[in-house]
Amino acid sequence: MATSTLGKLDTLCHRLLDSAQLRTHKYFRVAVPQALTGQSLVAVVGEKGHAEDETEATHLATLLLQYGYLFPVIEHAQIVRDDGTLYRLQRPYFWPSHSTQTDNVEYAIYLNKRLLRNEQRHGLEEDEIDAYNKLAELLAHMWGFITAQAELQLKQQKEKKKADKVVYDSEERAFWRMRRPGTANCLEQHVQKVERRLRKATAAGYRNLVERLKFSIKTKPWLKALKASDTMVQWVDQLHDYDPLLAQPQPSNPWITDDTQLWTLNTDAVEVPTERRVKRWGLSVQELVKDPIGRQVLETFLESEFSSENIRFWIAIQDLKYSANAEIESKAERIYEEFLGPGAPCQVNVDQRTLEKTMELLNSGNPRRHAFTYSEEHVFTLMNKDSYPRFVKSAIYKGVLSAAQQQGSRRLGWRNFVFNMGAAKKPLDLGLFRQQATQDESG
Amino acid sequence: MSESGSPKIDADRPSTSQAGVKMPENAAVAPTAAADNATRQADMIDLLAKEAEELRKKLDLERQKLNDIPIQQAAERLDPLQNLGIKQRRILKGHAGKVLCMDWSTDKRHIVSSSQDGKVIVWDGFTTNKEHALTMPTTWVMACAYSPSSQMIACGGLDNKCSVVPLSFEDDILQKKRSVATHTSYMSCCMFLRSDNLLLTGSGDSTCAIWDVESGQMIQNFHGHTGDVFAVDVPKQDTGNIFISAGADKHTLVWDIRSGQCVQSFEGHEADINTVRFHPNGDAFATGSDDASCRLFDLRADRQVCVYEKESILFPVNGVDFSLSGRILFAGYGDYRVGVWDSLKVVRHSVLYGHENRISCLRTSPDGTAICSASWDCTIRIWA
Repeated sequence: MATSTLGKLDTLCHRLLDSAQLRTHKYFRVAVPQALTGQSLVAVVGEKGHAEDETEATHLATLLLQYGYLFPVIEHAQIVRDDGTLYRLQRPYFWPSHSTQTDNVEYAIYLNKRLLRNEQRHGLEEDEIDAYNKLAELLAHMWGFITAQAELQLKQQKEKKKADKVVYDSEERAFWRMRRPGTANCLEQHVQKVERRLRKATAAGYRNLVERLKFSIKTKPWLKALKASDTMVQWVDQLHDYDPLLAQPQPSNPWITDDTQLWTLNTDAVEVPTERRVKRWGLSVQELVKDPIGRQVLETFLESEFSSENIRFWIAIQDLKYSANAEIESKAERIYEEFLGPGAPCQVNVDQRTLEKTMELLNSGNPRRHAFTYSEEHVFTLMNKDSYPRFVKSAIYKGVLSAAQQQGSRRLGWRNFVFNMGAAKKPLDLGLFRQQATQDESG
Repeated sequence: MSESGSPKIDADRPSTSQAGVKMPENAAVAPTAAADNATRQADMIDLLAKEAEELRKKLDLERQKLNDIPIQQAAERLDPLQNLGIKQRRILKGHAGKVLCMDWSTDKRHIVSSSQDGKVIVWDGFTTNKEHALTMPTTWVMACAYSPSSQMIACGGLDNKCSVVPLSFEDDILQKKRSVATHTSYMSCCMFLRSDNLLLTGSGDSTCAIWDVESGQMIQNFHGHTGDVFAVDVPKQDTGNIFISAGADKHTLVWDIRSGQCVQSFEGHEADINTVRFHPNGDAFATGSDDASCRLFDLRADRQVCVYEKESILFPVNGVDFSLSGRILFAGYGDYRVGVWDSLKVVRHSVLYGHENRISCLRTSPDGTAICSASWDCTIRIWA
């Protein structure tokens, strides 16, 4: 439990103590002093805790109860009821922030006190008797001290007024019910919060920081807030219809209807991608290449333009970056030979400077996992600025889209479509495709 | 770039012997308790810290000039969120201890979860059936992750290790468990890095590292945090070469995967950061902290965009995630509730009640059809 959270709960409860209307209630002809009903408790917690509605106020009150800031007077319970049930606010001395640790000796003194008193009213419950017996064994060497302390405390208490005594007894009881040593309570912390420690920053760390700050001031690479916010709002708005929690997915959300059709229609191996999915490719090149089918369609399109080496080069680099250590060298070698080396079968068109930088990385003797990082950027920019806009206008994309739209009436797989129209497997097919493509453009 | 087999022993590594030394409010102020046997070193740190502080002030001034409008204003043209009708749809019961972490499979329905009593369970979330249950040789299994192929899971925690287990219905799969990563303190978070081959971990030893799953070699480590790392995340777009990490030092650091260098850092939280998550557009991320707030930071604008907080929210945020479009920010709190925030208009839209103890982890499913929350009440719940 974070100490800052307990601090906030303390502040809230001080406000409650200041403003709650405590009075003596009647419960089956017994007077219950300094109490308030569930209704008024929820109302005051809601007001002081700035709750939005009654549900939130009740929930806040329940949390306060579970953390030991208030307790039910008559019957033990874990939640606050918004009714006539009587509650009492805990005395700050017993708040969890004041007593983070409880120990066996204190608990033994408390149980002893109970035993020394009227059995009918203060007798121990079964589990308390067990605890008492265990403690008597464990603390036998100081039992005399413990009983003496208990007697002393009782003597002091006798001087109090009766109503105060009743209240104090209930507060003490509520405290020990929650905080008995050795039992779990809600103050338990995640082990990482117990273990956590902060370390001294090092000179090297600071040097890096200074360098980073200097660079940042010099280059001012940051966007204006207006621009950044605007692009984000635009991006989010664009995806509104694709967000299953905002707009109902077609045909339905499996979690709500128990119908898994949505997932079957959207697997990576599906024959006809859904219209929504294909439309999403049109949003940006990132959306397109994120989808395995999208990648394949883009590749097919580029093949028809005789420039599929770019996307294949890019995919190969992605694969290389996330490959196992053992495969890095051979894969890097293969990429170089296929796309960059002299006489490479699929020569990629990168400018001289990028090529030089890449060669430098390749020959630096370092692992080659990220050796193609400059070429990757170059090729991706090329795809984004050059190929992608043409792809979105292409006959292939339009074809896949219309196939997706017709889905259901005519089962036309995108593979079918693409292989019939675009795939440059045979020169004949290609000719046919080009013819159609030009017709498409003129038409 | 070091792909050496063993962790580098670096003289400048954060020293773990300084346990318990409290950092001053601002991390850039020099620590007061400098080692006395190296006064010169301490003086230098002092100087550097002052320089950093001045640079930061200058930078803040410069930024202020560009801080023209808040995001709420940019989002004015959008309609407010309608009634979303999000309800609890599934409840997964089977853990006997506090559930600490969960992750979705890419098949959009399977879930792996880990708990404080050392159990790791693989569920079919859709049918709520348990498919595998493993007992780890440690308590507090703080992190677990599904591999992109869904053929493997990774998990670990107080054992300082991250182990992988291939999933199959033959034999005892626990026999095939292999430890891949080893830290010098507990492992707090892990995820596969876009393939089954690489594993990204964060640890209480204040470092992050990328590991080769097959050989267990460390590929790159990341030094720079001055406190325990509690969370890491990688953008969903596969074009970037960065990841982010955050933790007890209240900073979120942006790392270059290739070089191991920290390229950006963000601050603002007043207490530990427990969770970080990239916005689906990859240009921003959200954090959740012990200070009971979530915050949104923009990488390109290099600044905090907004704070999601409310007077009636007092408890730590332990899990955050976005809906598919990024419009909704879900936050799982220590007060047992899930807050549903309009991320752009920066207002709380609604609250999901159900859990009976603090929420430890929250994640949106890969296709955005549901969110899943794990809790100390031993249950996992799926909401849609």
